[in-house]
Amino acid sequence: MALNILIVDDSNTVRAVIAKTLELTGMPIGELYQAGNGKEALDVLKDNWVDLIFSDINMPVMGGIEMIQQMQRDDVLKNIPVIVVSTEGSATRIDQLKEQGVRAYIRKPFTPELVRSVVEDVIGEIDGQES
Amino acid sequence: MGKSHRETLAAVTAAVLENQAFMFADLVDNDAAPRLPEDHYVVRMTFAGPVQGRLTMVFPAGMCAEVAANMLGLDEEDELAIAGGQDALKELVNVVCGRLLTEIAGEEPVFDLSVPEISSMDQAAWEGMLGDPETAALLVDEEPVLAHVSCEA
Repeated sequence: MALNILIVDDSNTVRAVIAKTLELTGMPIGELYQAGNGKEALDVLKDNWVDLIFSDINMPVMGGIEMIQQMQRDDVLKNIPVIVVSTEGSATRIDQLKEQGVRAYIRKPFTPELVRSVVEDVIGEIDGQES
Repeated sequence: MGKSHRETLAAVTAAVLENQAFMFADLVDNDAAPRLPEDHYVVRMTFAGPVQGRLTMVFPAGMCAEVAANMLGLDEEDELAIAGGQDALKELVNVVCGRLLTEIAGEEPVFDLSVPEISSMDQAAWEGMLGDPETAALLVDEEPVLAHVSCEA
């Protein structure tokens, strides 16, 4: 099944790099949506079905944490897995993010192999929950 | 006086340039760095946590499109690479800062990072930066890239 993916980052370049990396993973990608901050992402989610979100943390207008908190308050959106992509490497911060509902964390720079492995783990977790 | 982070900064910068932009950097003596390129970008960002401070990097403007093109797998002449040049430099500095802080402070502390900002400097500021023993001067394809981190506990 092709995945509809939303990439949330305030940098056009980073969004393009993530999109390019996803293409290189060889995973089946359906629609690829992009948003420049959490607020724009929530707007995208209102009108489109998304299977997976890649999000930055620090963004203007609305950051990744606030976006995830708002998603957690919605019965449908709270089930969409969010993978945080960031430069930060703090184990404490990663634990905090997972407590907030983040499914996985990818530290920059990343490779297509790493991204694929993380996505497979996350999708595997979802399949495991459904079965 | 605090511990010097020059060697660590140089190593992290070289690794990020290589891994993220497929460009190779060599640390050189600051005296050996060429003059300030007429067209250049100064990228600065701050960090706050157990250690706080500022990371400053200076790039020749000509590197912009090449960095973006390499990050995106495009030709340097591609419009997306040209338009995304400054954005790509900011991202590069962002990654250097994150990696550097892990090297300096370890994997437990949490840091708040600012959004990188772009400006410029004059020749006197360039020479002042080169005169600072904490500045790492690197050559990337014979072009100078300067990196400096100031830290206070």
